Amino acid sequence: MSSSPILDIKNASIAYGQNVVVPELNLSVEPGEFIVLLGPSGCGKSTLLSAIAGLTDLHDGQIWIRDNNVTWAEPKDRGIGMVFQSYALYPRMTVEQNLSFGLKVAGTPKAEIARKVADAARILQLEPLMKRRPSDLSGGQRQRVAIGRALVRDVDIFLFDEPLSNLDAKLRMELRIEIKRLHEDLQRTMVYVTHDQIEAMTLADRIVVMKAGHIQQVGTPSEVYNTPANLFVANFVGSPSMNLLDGTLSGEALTLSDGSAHAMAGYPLSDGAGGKVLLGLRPEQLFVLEGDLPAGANRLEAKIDMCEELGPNSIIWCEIAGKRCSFSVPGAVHYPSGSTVPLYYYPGTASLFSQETEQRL
Amino acid sequence: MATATFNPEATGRKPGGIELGRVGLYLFLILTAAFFVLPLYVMVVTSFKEMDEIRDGQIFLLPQTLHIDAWRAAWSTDCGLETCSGISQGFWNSVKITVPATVISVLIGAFVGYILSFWKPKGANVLFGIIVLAGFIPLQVFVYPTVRIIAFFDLYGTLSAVILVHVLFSLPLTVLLFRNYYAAVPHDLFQAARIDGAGFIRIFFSLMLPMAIPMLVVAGLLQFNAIWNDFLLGMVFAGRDNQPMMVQLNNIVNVTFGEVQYNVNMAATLLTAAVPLLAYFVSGRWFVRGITAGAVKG
Repeated sequence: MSSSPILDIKNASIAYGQNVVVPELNLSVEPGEFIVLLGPSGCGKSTLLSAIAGLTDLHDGQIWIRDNNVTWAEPKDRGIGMVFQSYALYPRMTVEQNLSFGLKVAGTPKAEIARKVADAARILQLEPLMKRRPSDLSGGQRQRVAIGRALVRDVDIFLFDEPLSNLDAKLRMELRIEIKRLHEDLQRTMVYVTHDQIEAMTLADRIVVMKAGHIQQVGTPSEVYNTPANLFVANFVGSPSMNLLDGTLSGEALTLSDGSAHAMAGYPLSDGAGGKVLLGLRPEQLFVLEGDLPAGANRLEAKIDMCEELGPNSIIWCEIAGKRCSFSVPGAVHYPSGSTVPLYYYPGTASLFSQETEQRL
Repeated sequence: MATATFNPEATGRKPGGIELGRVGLYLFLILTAAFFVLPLYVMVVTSFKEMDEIRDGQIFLLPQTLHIDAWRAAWSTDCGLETCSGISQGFWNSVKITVPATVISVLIGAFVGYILSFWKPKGANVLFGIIVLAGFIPLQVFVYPTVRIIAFFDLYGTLSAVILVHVLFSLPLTVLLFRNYYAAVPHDLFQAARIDGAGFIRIFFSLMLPMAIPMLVVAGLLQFNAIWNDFLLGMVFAGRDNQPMMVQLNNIVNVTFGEVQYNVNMAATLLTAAVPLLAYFVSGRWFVRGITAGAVKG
């Protein structure tokens, strides 16, 4: 993309006293992008979001929004709007008052407030609810009001702080789709924090995986899922998580801990890669072998432990080369516990990680 | 195996019956209620009797005829130490002291609680600790130094002095109430308001004060009753012209010459106690709501 980034975080570090939560972080976001910050709790993703919002001070570094250095700017002057986990609607104000509060504080003329609030209400389908209090709204309606509060202020960047994480599963899915639709309609930049990898996979243009304040990988959902940059990403993204088998690599020859030899032809290995490795295979990258082994595939033996039927597919828990693993098969399938099932995979789709550096080879 | 007995015929609702335990429970409750209600009954009954009837000593009997002379005397003509104007003047003095002192102490408490909970200035917790600690020290300890300070500012014996002193001694309680009330308010709400551009004062008046209405009612009621029922500060600081009802009541009841006018004393006491009682009745619904606010989420 040729345009300059709308949000540029340069060498930012955030500390609470002596405790550095986010060290030296760089991140650029293009206009209109949907960025998801993904990581386990305590990884600094919410802290980073609140630093972008201006609610937490940086210890070092800079934050630029639309070519302005906003590092020391007040939250209201940054051109950001925020949707909180609790939605944080003002409980004693009606929906209309909630939407207009920011404009009123800014001293906007009444006619303009009315116009902007009406616009936002139309876009978010809040018109029939304008006189209600937040306590009379459903979860989805509350979320729309929270988004509307940012929308009326014409912000450059929408920040979402785990907005779906205290809802039940069904509502969560509905609101996720609503956020995605809204992003497509509005074409605004959104930065979204979550620990839920399904939200990240479904919503993001790019996912930023974080651990202990460090960015582990930045990439499209399919990049993050299919080619995780390191062991942490491989483990964190995907459910059930990626199967990891011990082995030794020399050239393209991989020897697993059970002694079986695998040719890694088709895997984009860099020169000189070798030594102790982990072979990473997603549950759906393993297939049950019926008949001859397809060309270019490698064979594995699975000792069945138990089967979980999920409806559209089944997760089969098993032991491969001494490691607890799982693979996924379509439909309702049941193998007797203790039986052995032959599997195969294509090396080109697999992941290899160095055991020493935990990085992808 | 346990040796429980099961009734094979059991079906539907379990048959009830009056158990001995139930009877005991009600008996206990009635006795406890009587413990509080009987003295009140005696006061009301006595206030409507004439002195002749009272001298008979039948304190539990209803009056033969209703006489409201004692009430009239208590309100407007009975004699205290030097004046004979009943407690009506004290009533208005009490209103003049209690209303402003309640409003000011509650508002300052809400404001300080808001600052301590949301803006968290350096040392906020230490400051809060000191404020609460001060609340545990009996205020009698402070009376003499406070008199000196008030006298230094040439306020001694004025209405402002007694109001100021009430506000000062109320602050530990009101700050404690509001700080804890606001501690239960999600921090997100405060941050959302900051992102909307609201400042220190705006967030308080537009957002936090309206949110604290249940606590405003509770704190207001507690303060109103505490200040209305106060005797010591009113006596020490108010000066002769501003003596509150409670001090005048004492003067009327403790007259040391002549016959003790039980009926007038009872009426005067009831009149004085009626105001806090009324306040509870009027705000009872809010009071319960405020006390339990935050106990259950949502």
